[in-house]
Formats: sequence, C-alpha cells, structure tokens
Amino acid sequence: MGISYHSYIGKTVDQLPALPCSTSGHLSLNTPVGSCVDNYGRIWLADTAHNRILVFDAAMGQILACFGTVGALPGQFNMPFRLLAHPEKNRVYVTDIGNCRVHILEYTEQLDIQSIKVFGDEPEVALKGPNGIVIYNGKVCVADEFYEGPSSQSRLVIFSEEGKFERAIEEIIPDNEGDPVHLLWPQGLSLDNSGNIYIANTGFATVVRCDWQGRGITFKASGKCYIDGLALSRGVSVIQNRILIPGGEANAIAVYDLQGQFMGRLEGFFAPVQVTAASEPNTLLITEPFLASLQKHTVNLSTLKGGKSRATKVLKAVGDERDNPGQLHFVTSVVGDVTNTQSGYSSNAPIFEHWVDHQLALQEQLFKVMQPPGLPSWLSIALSAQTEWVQRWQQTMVRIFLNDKFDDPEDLLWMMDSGNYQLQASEDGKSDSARPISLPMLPGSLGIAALTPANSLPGQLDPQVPLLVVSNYLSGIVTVLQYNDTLGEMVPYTVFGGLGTSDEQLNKPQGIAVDPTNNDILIADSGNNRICRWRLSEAGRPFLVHTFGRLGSEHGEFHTPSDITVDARGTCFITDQNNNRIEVYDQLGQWVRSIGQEGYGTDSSNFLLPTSIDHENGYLFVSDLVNRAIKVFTCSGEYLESFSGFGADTEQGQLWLPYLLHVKNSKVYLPDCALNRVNIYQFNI
Amino acid sequence: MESVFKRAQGKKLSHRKTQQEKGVCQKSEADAKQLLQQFQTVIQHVENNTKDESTCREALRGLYTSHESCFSSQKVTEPHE
Repeated sequence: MGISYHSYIGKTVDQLPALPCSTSGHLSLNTPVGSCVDNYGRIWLADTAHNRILVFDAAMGQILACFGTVGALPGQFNMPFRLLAHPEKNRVYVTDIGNCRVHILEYTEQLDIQSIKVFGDEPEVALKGPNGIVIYNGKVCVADEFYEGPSSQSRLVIFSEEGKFERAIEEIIPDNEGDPVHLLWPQGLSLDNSGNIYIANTGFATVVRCDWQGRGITFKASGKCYIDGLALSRGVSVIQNRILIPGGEANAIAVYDLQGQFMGRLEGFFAPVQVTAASEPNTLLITEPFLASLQKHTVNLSTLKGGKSRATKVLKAVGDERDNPGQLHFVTSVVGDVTNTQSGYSSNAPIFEHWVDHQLALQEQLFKVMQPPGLPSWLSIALSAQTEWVQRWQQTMVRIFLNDKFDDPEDLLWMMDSGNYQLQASEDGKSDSARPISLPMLPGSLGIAALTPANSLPGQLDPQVPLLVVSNYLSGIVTVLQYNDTLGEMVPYTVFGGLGTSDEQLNKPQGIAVDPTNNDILIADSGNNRICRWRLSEAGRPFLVHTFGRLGSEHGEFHTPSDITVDARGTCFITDQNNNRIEVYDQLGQWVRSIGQEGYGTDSSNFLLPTSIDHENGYLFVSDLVNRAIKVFTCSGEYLESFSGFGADTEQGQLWLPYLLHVKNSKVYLPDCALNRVNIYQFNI
Repeated sequence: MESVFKRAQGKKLSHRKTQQEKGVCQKSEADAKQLLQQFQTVIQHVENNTKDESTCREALRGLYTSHESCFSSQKVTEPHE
C-alpha cells in the first residue's frame, strides 16, 4: 500500500526571450510574492512558483535579468519567497522557503548576479519555513513560519548580515509586562525608522511589534504590542511612517499610523501580499500573487485619515498573462467521472457527427456573436486566432459528453480554472493537455461534481449524459448544467441557493458531493458554517432536504467547513477546516464521530487546516493544507498513509495551496491554486 | 498554558462570531436574488426556444454578463493559511 506522485497537468509558461526584453507580451508570472529595490533603483521580484528571481528596470518596462532554477544547489530555489535589498552593499537576500534556507546574492551594476552564501539550513538552526526578512545595524531577522516550539509557537531567528546564527526569539515579552505574545505562522516582516520589527502574525491575524531582543513595543491606540481585528495578516510594510497591512481588510490594504490607530484603507486589491516602497516618492510596489501580478501604484499615505477608503493610481502592472493554451490560473477543483467510460459510442453518435459538421460551419458566426467586450481574455485570444486547438477541444468536449471511447478513458478530467473563468479538460493527463471546453464560467465558480439522475428528468436532454453541478463562491448560486448539443454548449438545467444566511441560501459554498445512495447534492456552505443537503425532485426541481451545523467548535458545529464526501453507505465526511478535524455525520445529519486533532505532522491524524476530502473503495483522502500532505484513512478513521511535500518542484509533486481534491480509479487529482497545476498521485492498495 | 494552535483557533472563532453578526453584504444578496430570477428566465427560454440558437446564445450571454458585472470585482479568497 502506498501513495506516490505520478504526474501533473498545467503547462508552465516561463520562457523568456534574450534579455533585456520588454515586459509587454513576454511575461507570465506564477504566483509572485516578494519584491525589493536594489541600490540602482531596479526592481527585483520573486517569481515564486517559477522558482526564479526577475529583475526589472525602475519603470518596469524591461526585464533585465533572470536568476535561478529549481533545485537545492547554490543558485537554485524552491519557492523563493521574500526579497530584501541590503541598504548599502550590492546584495539581495532571498528566503528560499521550500529549501528552508536563505541566500545572499551579490550583484553588480551590470547585473552580474552571484550566489555568495546560503544559510539557515545548518543543523543548529534548521529553519523550517523562512518567510519575511529584515536587516538593521548589520543584523538580519528571519520569520521562521513553520518552526514548532514547545507550545507549538513559531519564532524569529537573528543572524549576522553574513548569515551567522546568533539567537532565536520564541516569545515576545510586552514592555508593559503583560502575558507573552506567541507567533504562529509569521510571514512578512518590516522595520520602522527606529529599527523596531513589525511581524505579520498570520495564525493570529495580528501585527506584532517588538525590538531585536524580543521585547514587545506597545501601540498607544490599543495598549498592546500588537494590532488586532484584522481580516488577514500575511504581510506588513512600514512606509511613509504608516503601517500597511495587505489583506488587513477584505480586498484592501489596511493602513495604521505608528501608534496603531487605524487611518484608512487602500481599496481595489485581491489578496495582496507584499508592499514595497519604490524609488520614486509616494510610489508603492504591490504584488498580488493570485493575479500573477506586480504593480506600481502612487498614493500619498499622509493624507489618508479618519478611516476613509482610497483608491490608488496604478502606474504600471506586469505579469498577468496567464491564459496561454495548456495553462491554468487559480485551478480550484476537478471532476473526472462525468461519463460512463466503459461504453463506446452512445446512441448519440450521429449527433456527434452532426455536431462536428454543424459546429465548424457555425464557428465563424458564433465567434462574431461572442465577441463583445468584457469576456475573459482567453476567449478573446481564442476568438481572434481561431486556432486549431479551439476546434479540436470543442470536439473533445462533445466526445466526452457523448460517451465516445477514448484510448485511456481513465484520464478524462475536468478542471475548474477559476482565475480564467472557465472549465478546462484534459483527455490524457499530460502536463500541457488542459484546454478550455465551454463558454466562460461565472466569476467565482469553484467546486464541481457530476450527477447522473436515476431516472430521466423532465427537460433533461440526454439521460445518459451526466449533469454537472457547479458551486459559485461569490453569488452563492449552485448551477446544475447540462450539455445542449444544438447550442454546442453547457446550459443551466436548474439553479438554487443564492447568497444569504437563510435556510435555502448559501454563503461561500466550496466543495460539493453527490450522495451515491440517492443522488442528493451536499454542499459545504462554508460561510454559514453548515452543510446543506439538496435534492432534485422527479420533476427536476431542487428542494432543500435539511441543513446541519452552526458556527462553533463543539460536535454539531463547524468553523469553515470546506469540503465534503459521501461514502457508499451515505455517511458524510467533512473537512471542518478551522477546527482542524474531520467530522463524520450520518445521512440524517446526526454527528457520528470526529477524526484527527490539531497539530503538525505529515504522517499522522494531526491536521492544520484540512481543506479537502474525497473517498474511494472505503479509503478517505484528505488534503491537509498547512502540513502540505495528502493523508489516507480508512472510513472508520484509522490513519494509513500519506504523501507530503512543501514546494514548487514539478518533478516532486510538491504543494503550496492545494484545494479541492478528487479521487478516481486510485488516482488522486489535487489542484493547487498557487502552483497553477493539478498534481496527480497514484494510490496502490 | 493552552497550545498556540488552540489559542489561535479560539481567537479566529471569536472574530468570526463578531463578523457573523454583520451578516452578508446586502447588495450582493440582492444581486444574487436577481441573478436567480434571470437564471430561471434563461432556463425557460432555452427550453422553449431550443432551435432558436441566436436568442438562446443571447440569453446565456446576458446571464454571464449580469453575473460578471455583479461579482467580477470580488474574488475567491480561499484557501489560505
């Protein structure tokens, strides 16, 4: 028995022409995180999931240099994360989080870049997750995100600027003698002009301030050494005497003064992580990793007061070309069992043949109809180019729905490519095989499941062809789609839900499962902290059977249930994400038992933010986010096996932000929305 | 002292309870209700006019456009550490 890495789907588009070259038309970033400005005003960017550092001119019009490949040798990275420019020397520090070490790169004016030192991986230090980094008075401080201290706390580690270990800080002692403050998964770091350290303490959603001895520096506004009440805290930057907290408020950068007083918010961002002061006055560099984007903004922070909102002016944005053929962008979910793959051509084969002729004849006309502005850029490209692959994959879609026999039907796979608003398919599971196969999906489409009603439903065009159930995270609408061969398109068969908190509404629905005993649709209603069971009546109308759960940590309660699977007996297994456990319920919605407990561990029933679950043949497969592990259990909750790996090495099957997994024919398909690929693992009984 | 994990869990939970009292964005809720109506209209239209490809496509496109205008400024924010 064992689970091992097999392959992946999702093309990497990291080729660059001879450098220097224009950023326009040449740059596809892959979840970039850190940035810094060197002593010549050039902009350095960690193109994290591409395992490389890029250097741009100050105007971001040119790519000047590219440094690094994937690996563990000097000059190689596995997820280069944060960057730090030495204030005087021609050096850039790079936290290499997947390799658990820090690089010192030395550069010249001509951008000859050399790796002169790596540190932090020596046994007496053994960094577990170097993330944020700052330098002051010849000392370097690194946030060690996944270090586990005696109370499971993380730590800061102090080195000389040459990389010699000096000491660790495992708790912050407030200067007003309150209880010690612990760190959990600290990410970004920053400094004020006095050299005080600001820590994005992600696990507690706070920003902590301390000195280099670990003494907490109290904020006057709160009387504590931390800023609280944040939505998220992945990064922090002290710029223009303001504390900027990307994600501190939803879709915004929260701004505080140095006393900890909330001053306002910079709006219009999606999951920003790193804010860096650019060379020009009042100018910020901002990375939005999930949009694959580095942007330059101008804003005068000193005029932002009174808790107001402000939009910044975008001067330049680069890197968001994520829609090349075969490429995925924020892939969230996968489904494979949309068709009965054992049969050959179905009785609809003549329709397929008709469709091919008909569709090709109509294509030009269709493209004209579909060309208005506002469509995702992939479609615009496809329409303008009318390239061969569009036609080929439109045909593939029909073949899938009409039960055409494939050479290896086990590899048929549908993927929700959320960032590009589309459904993609692969028929052979090869790395570059993903292709769009329908009209645009709606923004926020996230989870998918296949549903084959036991009896034909009124209005169902072909009872042999499964319906596709899609959850929408933003609108709360669940759509049941069917293939319409006249239109050559997926069309809604029925809908239910809608954003809200009443029984029949949904709030941030994530994973979906179909109960194999009765075809009920179960939805992880994560924002309402409950599970909803819906059913299609014989008339094809959806109705709510029941909901169970509410916000809390006791049994019968959930805190962000993110995914669900239902076994052959109708038993429901739910990832209760923020309670760090799997909850088991019977078909009536009664709690049965829990599996697991909070804690680090790649080969145990410890969980830290378990995110996704599926089952096959009596085995449960759980994606455990922080532990970056796929854990296999029996349905009675006995831990059996795991695969784990944190990083961005395509050859190793490593993970960064795995989302909704799918298991089919002993293969585990795990979309990673930060690495932008679907990893495939083989499970052998 | 309770483990850091338990304390972080407890803190997130109390924050979530505070947020829950605020409910969902009323405008988004109203948008979703309107979209559900539009879905029903489109489903009816496609069912009743299945041979009329151009109006079916037009109805579908209108649905996508409506959804996009309501929700494209927002993004999926899960999963995260």
